[in-house]
Amino acid sequence: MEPEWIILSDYCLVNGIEPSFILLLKEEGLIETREKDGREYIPVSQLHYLERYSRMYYDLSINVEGIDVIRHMLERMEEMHREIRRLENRLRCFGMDN
Amino acid sequence: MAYIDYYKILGINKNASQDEVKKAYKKLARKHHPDLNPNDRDAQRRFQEINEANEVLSDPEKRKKYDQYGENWKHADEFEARKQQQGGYQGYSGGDFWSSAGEGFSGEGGGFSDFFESLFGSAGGGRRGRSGGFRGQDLNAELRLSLREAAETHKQVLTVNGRSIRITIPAGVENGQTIKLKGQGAPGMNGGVPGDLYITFAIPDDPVFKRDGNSLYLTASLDLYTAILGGEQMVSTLDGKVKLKVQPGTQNGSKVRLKGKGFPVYKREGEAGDLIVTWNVVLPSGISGKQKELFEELRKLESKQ
Repeated sequence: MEPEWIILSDYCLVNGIEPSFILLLKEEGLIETREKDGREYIPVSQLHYLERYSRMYYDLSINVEGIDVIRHMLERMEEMHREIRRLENRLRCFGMDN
Repeated sequence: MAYIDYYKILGINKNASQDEVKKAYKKLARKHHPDLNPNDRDAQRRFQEINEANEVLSDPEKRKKYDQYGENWKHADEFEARKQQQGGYQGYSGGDFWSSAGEGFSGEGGGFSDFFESLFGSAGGGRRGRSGGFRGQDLNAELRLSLREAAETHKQVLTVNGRSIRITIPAGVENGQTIKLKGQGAPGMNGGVPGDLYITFAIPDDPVFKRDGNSLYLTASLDLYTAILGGEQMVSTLDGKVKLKVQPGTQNGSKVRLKGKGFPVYKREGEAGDLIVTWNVVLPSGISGKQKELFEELRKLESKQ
């Protein structure tokens, strides 16, 4: 069974990420971590976001504030896509898609 | 297989410095990176081109080879062999051409073109993530489902890139909806994590039902006599036929709502929308002389009232 939390320092070491970057993400509310027995842990469910933010930060040179703006915009884009899809399907339902 | 102009892709001239290459690459990568353009295949394709152009132009060795052979790239190996035979060629040392990995993206990028692989070999991709591994490519697939299939949670086996993947499709998926299967994309390299698989559902129109979100619409025929006098009528639902009571004096185009007989709500087991039945009152055709007489009588009665 896969663990639900992993040790942050181990993750940083394996992936070549600076712990200070994770701290910045945490301060900006972009990811959540948890401290237990003097160690910082990150939930496995957040790794997908962490990987994405790391690519933006390291590969695209976007700072953490910029990542937060992009996150908001992508969420809005996703909502709009859902709405467009819903409207397209409605038009199709009423035979007005041509 | 056509020659690819990497300079044109990055929008720079042939004399561009390494700094200019880097700058042009970063600018275009910010525009087309898959993280910033989710589910956009065009952006993904553009990003692959940009990535490949950077892979070549940011690496002095690769750039030199690319510049040297240019559009004659098909003869590159031939030229090199001839030069080595003549003993005058100071080529790349020790066959370690690929040891200098480029500063490519670790994100979704995908593979390299046939042109690239012809010139630099299939091992020429130097994209390296911070982890040292290569994340596998994200894959996109389209799955066609009938409306009735989309109404039931069921398992399907998909073949993606020659690999069979068994997936569970939850009831209630919508036309055009995309779901992500984490780690089901192309395998990673060098210990990199696999990419993700994105499945987009295509649900063509059903001949019987129309769907709007969780509501289902059905047009059912009703004979004139039942419409006027009332009675019962069988109608189709997703679960089979049901008998509906018809009120006397039912008008053509009037609607009846059947609660919970519509489309299942996505990821909410046991919940479903409504089925809306529109009555289409059908007039009798080819009536007999006797029927005509009776209708005439009805008309007279109607005008007297």
